[in-house]
Amino acid sequence: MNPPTPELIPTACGPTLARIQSVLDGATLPDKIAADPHLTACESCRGRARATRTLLAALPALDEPDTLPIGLTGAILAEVKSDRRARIRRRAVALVGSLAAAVAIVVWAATRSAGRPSPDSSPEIVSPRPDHIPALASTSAPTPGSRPIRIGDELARAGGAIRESSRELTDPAGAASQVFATLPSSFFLKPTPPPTPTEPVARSLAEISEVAKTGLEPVTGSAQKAFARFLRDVEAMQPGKPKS
Amino acid sequence: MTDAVIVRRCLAGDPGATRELVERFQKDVYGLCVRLLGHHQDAEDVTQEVFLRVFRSLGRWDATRPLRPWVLGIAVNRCRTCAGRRSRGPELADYLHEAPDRRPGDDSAELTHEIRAAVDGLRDDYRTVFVLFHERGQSYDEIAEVIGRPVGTVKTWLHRARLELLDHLRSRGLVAEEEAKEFKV
Repeated sequence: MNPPTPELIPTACGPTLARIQSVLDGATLPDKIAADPHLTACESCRGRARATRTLLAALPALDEPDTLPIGLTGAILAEVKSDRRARIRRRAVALVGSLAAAVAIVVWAATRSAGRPSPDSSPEIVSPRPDHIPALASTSAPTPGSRPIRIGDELARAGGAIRESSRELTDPAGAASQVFATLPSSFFLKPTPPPTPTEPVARSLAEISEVAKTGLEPVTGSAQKAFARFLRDVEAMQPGKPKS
Repeated sequence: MTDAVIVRRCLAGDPGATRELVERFQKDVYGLCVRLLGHHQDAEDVTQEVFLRVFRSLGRWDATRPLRPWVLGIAVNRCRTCAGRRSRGPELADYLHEAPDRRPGDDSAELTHEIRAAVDGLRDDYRTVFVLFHERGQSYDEIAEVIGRPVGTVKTWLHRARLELLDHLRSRGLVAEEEAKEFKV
């Protein structure tokens, strides 16, 4: 259907069309259309007026009540009932689920608080928090106005601490503690002129007690063996000696 | 029983009130769905959907407003959704369409058939207001309530729908010649 748009309708037709609409609304009697003088001059409006009469005659047939399908009421009621039950079930499941979640959270919280020891019972808990760092670190914590931290000093201090903590073992060893005490300074501080290969070691080994000597001899022996093996490997990797 | 009372009883879970509400509106809803969808089976399905929606959202109904336009508004929306879904889906072969029986038996039936076909050819909005006004007997105010538009818009759409229909009848020659003569000078 390709109807004319209202913009294309001449303005002279306006009152007639309004009257036709009023008749179709049921507000005006159909006879009023026939008395319109515009119809004698306008072929379109005359055609619309005739079509209006036709439409008015056919409209009562349009609003004939449709026969309801058999069982429609029962089907609707069953559907509504089933939907209502499903909604109640969904709500119940949601309620039970949320209750279960709440109970689980409460149980978890209770278990957690029961498993955690009280601060009075074990004051030695190791914790990553800064206030639980051992005394060594806490003593070296920078404070405003203190001097900056130096790695060498800290290592020396750590070595001292190790030495102090192992005093029970090292005391019987006597001079062995002096060897440990030289470790930080020999690694990180001033370089010392290389001594003659064997004399200082022999002297130092001779100075320490028998117990310490017994502990250190395997170390020195292993170092010598490792160095000998290193020299052998280097010799074996010389380019002038191809493999056979 | 007034609308407010019946709704209150439905919300309380009274099966008798549920049945009464369905029986009160099912004819209007089904008739509207048949006219807007042009398909009995679809209309039946959509009618069930409409009542499901009605009972689901009955708690949101404004008791100060009439119930019938509210129910018909849901029906119009569901029909629109169904029509949209149908237009997006695969088209059935013509012989599979279960269209309402519109075979003309005599002249008046032919005229009715022709008018129905012309109404079906209208734009969706125009067809809805035409069906609600001329076939379901709703007033302008009620239609405005149903489709959620101002009364002025409803009037404009209905007037345009009528003009299109009248011009269709003219173009199809469905105006008797003797009737035409009475307007001639």
